[in-house]
Amino acid sequence: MNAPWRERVVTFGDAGHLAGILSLSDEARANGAPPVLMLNAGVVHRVGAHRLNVKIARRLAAEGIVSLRFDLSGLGDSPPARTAVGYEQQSIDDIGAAMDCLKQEAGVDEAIIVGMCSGADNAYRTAVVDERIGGAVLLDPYAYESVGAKIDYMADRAANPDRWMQKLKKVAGGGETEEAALDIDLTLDIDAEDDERALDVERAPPPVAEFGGDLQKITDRGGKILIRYTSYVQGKVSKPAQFFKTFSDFDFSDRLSVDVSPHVDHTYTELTAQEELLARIPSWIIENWSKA
Amino acid sequence: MTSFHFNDGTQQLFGVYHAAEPAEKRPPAVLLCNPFGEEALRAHRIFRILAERLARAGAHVLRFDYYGAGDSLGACGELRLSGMAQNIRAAHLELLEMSGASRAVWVGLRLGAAAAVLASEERVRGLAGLYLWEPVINGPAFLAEAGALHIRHIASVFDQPVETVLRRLGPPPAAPSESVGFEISDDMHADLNALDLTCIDQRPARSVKAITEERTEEMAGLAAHLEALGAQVDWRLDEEQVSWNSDKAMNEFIMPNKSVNAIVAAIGDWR
Repeated sequence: MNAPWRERVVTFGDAGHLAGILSLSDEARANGAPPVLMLNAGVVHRVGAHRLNVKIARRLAAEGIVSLRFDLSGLGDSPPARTAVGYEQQSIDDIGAAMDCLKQEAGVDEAIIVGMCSGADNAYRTAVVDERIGGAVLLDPYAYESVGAKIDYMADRAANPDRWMQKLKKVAGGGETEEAALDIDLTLDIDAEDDERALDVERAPPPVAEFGGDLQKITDRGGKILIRYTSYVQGKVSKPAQFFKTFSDFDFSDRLSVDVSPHVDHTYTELTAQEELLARIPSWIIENWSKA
Repeated sequence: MTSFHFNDGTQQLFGVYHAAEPAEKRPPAVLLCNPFGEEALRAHRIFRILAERLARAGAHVLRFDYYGAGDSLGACGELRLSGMAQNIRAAHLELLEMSGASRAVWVGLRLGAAAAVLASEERVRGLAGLYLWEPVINGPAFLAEAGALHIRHIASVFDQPVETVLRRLGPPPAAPSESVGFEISDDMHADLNALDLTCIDQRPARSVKAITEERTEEMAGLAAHLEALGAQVDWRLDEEQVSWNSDKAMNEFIMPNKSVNAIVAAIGDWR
């Protein structure tokens, strides 16, 4: 293997119970970007949904950027913590311990945090209180309804002839089943729609004023934020302008970017969608930190 | 529980070793062989808990990621069935060396079970037997299933009719290039197209146990074929097996306890 980077197993935290993988570049911090911290997406272990954290780590390492992917207490290979501070505070504490680990391993007191879904919630909450986090990539963080997105959503559904055909078949009775359309017996039980709703159960968004105020608190201190929304928030956000309209009372001083990719699903299942993300994160980091 | 990297030739693999707790009678060590793709993510917690229970029952356990999967090096496109089998043999030697055990049982789930059978076709020192958990038996059928599953998954996550997805992506090919977030390379296609466990030439191990939710004709055929090759086959049914193989089950921490307990008990009694 001739890759200009390597990976190392690390354990850290007060109880030494947190398990992670450090990706180290032989040209560490060649472009001046701080290390990147990657969190669990929902309950998926540290490799991330569809192994995305691993792919991001190696793409970053190829650019000379160090990263750490790790399991929060009670997830993946990290056993539950012995403290009783509650999930949200424990996540903040765990991420703080990961920051300490990065400082020890990479000698830097700043990091960019990347989180998807509940990982985005954990990343956001920690970035508000831990000033060592200089940047955050939030993949499908909290989203709030907007009239424009609702109209886009309804129009998109109404314009799909297959949806009308499906309704007509239901009314007429019978019709081709999904299995017949695919000409195969689907023996594996999967209901991804339910899955993604299941991930959302605990994700009651804070009030707009609170979320906006917190994001501004991060940008006010010089932190940079990249928010990427997918089809997961259809009906809430379909264009970046809708986000900024919702948060028009706040001033993010050009330190907050919003991407909206309605053609991408919540966990970036399709390889083309993954490639888009794998290109976007390093380029956003290099673009923002090489200026610094 | 100790996480570490080890090598299979030039390939760096990631493993987690669970040292056995004290026991009156030491069962064989156990190597856990992951399934493929999304199934490996769903199985991660199940395998960790299975490993912990086996260690409590006195077995040394190693779980690991194949090259091109999980935390091991390699891109997803480099993962192939023959590589999985080769990695299983390397992990087996690592387990024996770490534990000091003289023999080990390989527990393989889904495609990991098929890889374990293929790996055992070459004479392997210290292989006590195989435990096949919902094994993939036929490669082309697995590929077709993976392609259809991908289409259905995409339809579901976008809340679209299947027909809309079929119009965009086309019908699932016999050799899909991706399934639910994971690449399937041409090499993997070739390996899977050649996979039919009911046609293997050599007895994979003297003792082969299996557990499945149902016993299909194909499974009965595999059991008969293994017996014809001289293996002692013990095929159990877990008809009430809770469905672990969905993201929903993973999110709800579903554990297929009956199957897991059956495996722990079988390892404890392994002869």
